[in-house]
Amino acid sequence: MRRLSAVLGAALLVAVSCGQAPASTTSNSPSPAVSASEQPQAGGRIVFGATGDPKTMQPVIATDTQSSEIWNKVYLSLTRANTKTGETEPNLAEKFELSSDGLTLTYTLRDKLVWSDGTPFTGEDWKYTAEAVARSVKTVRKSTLQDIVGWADYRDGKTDSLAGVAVKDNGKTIEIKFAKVFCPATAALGGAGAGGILPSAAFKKVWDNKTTDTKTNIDDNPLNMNPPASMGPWIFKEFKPGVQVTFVKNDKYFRGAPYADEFVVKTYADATAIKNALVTGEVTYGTIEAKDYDEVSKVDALKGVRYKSSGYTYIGWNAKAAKAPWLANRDVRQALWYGINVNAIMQKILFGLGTQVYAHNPPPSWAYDPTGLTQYSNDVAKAKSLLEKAGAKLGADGVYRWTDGQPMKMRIETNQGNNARETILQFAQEQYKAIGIQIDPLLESFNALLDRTDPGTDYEGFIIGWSLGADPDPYSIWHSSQQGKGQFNNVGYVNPNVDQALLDNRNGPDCSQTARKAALKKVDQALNQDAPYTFLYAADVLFFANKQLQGTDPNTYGLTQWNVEKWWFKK
Amino acid sequence: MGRFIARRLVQAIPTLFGVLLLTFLLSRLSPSDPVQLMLAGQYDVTPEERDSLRHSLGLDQPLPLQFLAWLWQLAHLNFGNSIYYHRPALDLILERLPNSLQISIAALIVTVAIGIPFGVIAAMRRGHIEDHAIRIFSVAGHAIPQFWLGLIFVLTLAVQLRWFPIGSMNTVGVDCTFCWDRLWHLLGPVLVISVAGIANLPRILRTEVLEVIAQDYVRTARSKGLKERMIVARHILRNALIPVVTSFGTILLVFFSGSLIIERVFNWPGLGRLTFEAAVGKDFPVVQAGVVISSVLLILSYLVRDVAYAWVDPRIKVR
Repeated sequence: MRRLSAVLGAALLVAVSCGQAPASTTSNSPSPAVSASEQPQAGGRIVFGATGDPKTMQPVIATDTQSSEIWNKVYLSLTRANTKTGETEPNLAEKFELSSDGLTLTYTLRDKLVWSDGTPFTGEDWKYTAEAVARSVKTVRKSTLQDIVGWADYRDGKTDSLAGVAVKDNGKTIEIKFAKVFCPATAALGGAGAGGILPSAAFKKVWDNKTTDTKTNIDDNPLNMNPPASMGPWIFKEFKPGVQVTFVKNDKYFRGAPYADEFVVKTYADATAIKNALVTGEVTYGTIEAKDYDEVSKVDALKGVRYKSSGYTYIGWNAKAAKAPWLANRDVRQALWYGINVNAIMQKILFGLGTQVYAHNPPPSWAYDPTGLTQYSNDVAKAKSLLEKAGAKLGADGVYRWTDGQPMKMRIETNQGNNARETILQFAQEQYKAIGIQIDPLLESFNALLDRTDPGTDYEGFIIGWSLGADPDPYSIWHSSQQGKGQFNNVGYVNPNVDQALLDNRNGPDCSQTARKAALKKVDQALNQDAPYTFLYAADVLFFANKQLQGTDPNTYGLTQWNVEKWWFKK
Repeated sequence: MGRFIARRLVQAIPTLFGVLLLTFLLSRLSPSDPVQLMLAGQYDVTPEERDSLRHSLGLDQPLPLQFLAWLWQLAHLNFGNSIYYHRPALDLILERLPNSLQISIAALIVTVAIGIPFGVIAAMRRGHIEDHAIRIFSVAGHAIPQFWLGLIFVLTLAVQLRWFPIGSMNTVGVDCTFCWDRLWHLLGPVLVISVAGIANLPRILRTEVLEVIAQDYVRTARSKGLKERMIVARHILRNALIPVVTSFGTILLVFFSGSLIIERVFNWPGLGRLTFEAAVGKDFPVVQAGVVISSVLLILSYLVRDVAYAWVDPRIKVR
């Protein structure tokens, strides 16, 4: 299931994604492996730079990258994606098993797991978190859990417990029953829908899950900004707004206490300030923008790794837009794809450090298969002929008129402060003028962009990105049923064949990778032709760290700091 | 003096009212809907609940009534909750205010400590190289935008040469206010923000000093055989300072407006950066609180200026 937290993820789309084999390594990059003669040393402080303060430190309601950079230090999942292959592997769980009929998932927890405050970690923590997701009004994560038996009853307050979840063996075993087969279950459910599991003993003091009162929930309480216990390598110490969030090492971390004493997430104004902090050594590691790649690569004190991200940037076209009825027409959407020079955009923004995409599944995914997809390239004549085929007529002012006579003028919006998206908007405005479509650009806050593009009819085009998880399940993005408030099919996309293929991928009954890949190929082919998005590019992740920091090994999937307990400073 | 301050305070009321009215109207003129922003990300909210929230916030009332209700809230120091932080906007402002005051007060000290000697030197060495150099500095200081100077400072002196930190209030791991580390981090923003003030003062002071030097009482002081330093300090400077005190109003204004950008450039967690980021993020309660608190501070600093003016020139009291 894709990781929704990062999705929308603002400027640092790539910051939380992780991957397959490294695409390349910069010239001054030593191998991350530690030589046998060098013994790790304890001590030191790891500093990471973030653009802005976290809105919350609680995963159920988190939707932004800054927040996930905080909660992922303390709240973990039962499983995690292998950083190189993307395959699901045990984390807090010792093992997991999906029954042969695909209807029962069983997690067995590791022995002697304890929270940093000494409370035992049990299956009740998982159940509490899943129930918190069910009752939250702010969460965007409900679709992950919707196939669990009794989900709707608990969500709607008809029961006071999620019937399909049984916690057994003194909390060591979690048995989850599904109403129908859910192929991505093992990967998607480890984090109880939220991504990270909450300490139920502490959170029950602010919200009791054993209730039928749907007016109460976990959305607003002091613990959301003050994590009370940790299962991760770090324990929350303090938050200074506008300055930093400080963590200290968790001696009870099940993989062993980190070598470093502290982890600091320091707040900076923008990506350039973070780059400066990386260059001067104030920040220990981080990802940078492509425009800074040459400069940072030349800094002797830094080592870098470049790898593919599991996400992409796109322009979405709302087929239900009241003010731009032409967006419901497939020829017009194809014209919009031909009308923009994606190559030029990539050169300007990525300096070639990325891959152009033509459909949903990005290059590192096992579902990626570009064969047979139309490779749209900038072709003004073809774009114009498609517009005319759709019924548009060129006006004397050089702007096409739609079939109802109104000029083809529409708004494209994106979030202010994201240099890449602002640049795409500039390109779109100039290049669509050349094919006779007038663009009214709008820059707004990230929150406002999300809110304005919540499924409806009051927006036309928008530029944003997806950061996707290792297991491909694009149901909530493309299924025609996912067009309600808070859902993600906000371009009004409807294609019965795609709906069926999405269900085949999600609910099988054949959950083999071959069968799922075939289903996802149908989805990609239809999206490539229907063009509900103008798919743009998947940017490479450009990771740099101080050379003294040893043991880093980031890749496409999972967290950059997936093995942070092994990071140490060479004196 | 008490009556003088009271009168000035009363005179400040229309200014404050104007600021409040403008702040209110600008926030209402924005195309963003406060209810939409407050409920961003809450997906189970029905249209009826949205209307109910709109009603409870008084947003369905006519604008004059909304303004009066807002004034009533302000009178109770209630600026509402930040949309981003979900905390009272005033708390956020008061947390950041001391950080901004550190820059402003330090910048004022640097401006006075450098600007006044520059003005006196320019006048006393009229037509010499020192005068020309200070005049060139004044013109350049006026012409160069603060944000540009800040960026160049960070890129050259901090990133390239590593003479200064790139920003923030302290080195990571150091947490102190009255210490060398803080002073070290203050230098960059203070120097950059002081440039405009330092450029402004000598220009005014030079003209005044030249005028005062020609006065009879200066000639008398010289003829009495007083030392030149005493003449400058006691007779020339005191009389030349009156218009300089007036110019502090402009300098403080520059500090307040400059802090919006400079705090961002130097990653200083002050009121300016908070207000800037709130404006970009359309966090209206914080923007309104930031603008109102900054305006009140500016009005108060004008009052201090007027009191200082009265102290330097006792004739003010009579008028």
